[in-house]
Amino acid sequence: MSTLYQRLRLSSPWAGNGTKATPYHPKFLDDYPATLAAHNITGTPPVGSCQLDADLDQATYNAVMADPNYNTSTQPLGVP
Amino acid sequence: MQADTGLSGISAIVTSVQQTMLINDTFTDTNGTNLTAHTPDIKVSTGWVANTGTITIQSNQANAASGFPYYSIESGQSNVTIQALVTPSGSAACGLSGRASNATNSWDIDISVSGGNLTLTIQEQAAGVFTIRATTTIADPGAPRTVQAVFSGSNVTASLNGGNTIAYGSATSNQTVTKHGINMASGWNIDNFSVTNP
Repeated sequence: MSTLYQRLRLSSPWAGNGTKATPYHPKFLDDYPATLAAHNITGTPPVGSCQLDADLDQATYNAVMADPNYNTSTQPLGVP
Repeated sequence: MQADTGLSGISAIVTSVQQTMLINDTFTDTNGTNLTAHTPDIKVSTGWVANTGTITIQSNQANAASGFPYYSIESGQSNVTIQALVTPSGSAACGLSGRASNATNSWDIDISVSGGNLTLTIQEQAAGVFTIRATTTIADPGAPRTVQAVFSGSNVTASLNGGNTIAYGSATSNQTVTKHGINMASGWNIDNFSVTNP
């Protein structure tokens, strides 16, 4: 049985330093390490923010929607 | 008596998409042979090129003894499916390198294993700068770990053992590069490397 998840499109600052060991990535993935998957991470680091589609279990989804750092930049995409 | 499948009277049209094997390498050769001196089972033109570092054959697998070597091979096609059996060592992230024009410009489809978890990533490398474009973390299934990447226009998808698929739809850098290959870390092994079209 697969984990019920929700897909959310959101914006995030960049993290990392662009090396092979620590590539640039959305800070969101550090803040929510339980993220099941992230797709289509667009944008040019390190300036500005990136956009991504994040697959989240229901508990993480609820936490993100209540997080003021992200809840203003989210667009629920439903259950894929 | 034949079971009623519910399909009687319906003509099924089956369309098969034939894949062309462009590159295939089972790395069967003498221990210590540099891939640059090794002839793949199937190749289009030239053999393996060392973009950086050294990869040799050990126990009929590609093996890196040190550093983070990148090797590529000409396939003549940019829209391809790349696949290999990857055996990691340590927590570094390594695997396939698609559309790899040199050591600092490529699309890396990497896995890393740490704490019982496996992370699969699509990484864009542009002028030596790495950016994760898609990622997923799952419980490490253990060996065998077959990593596959599909390049089609500006779309790149990656999967592990035929599942856990991740995708990136804006892969415009190096989009027409036709060399593909592998990137490794010390102690890693790669076997059964293939490039097919599409």
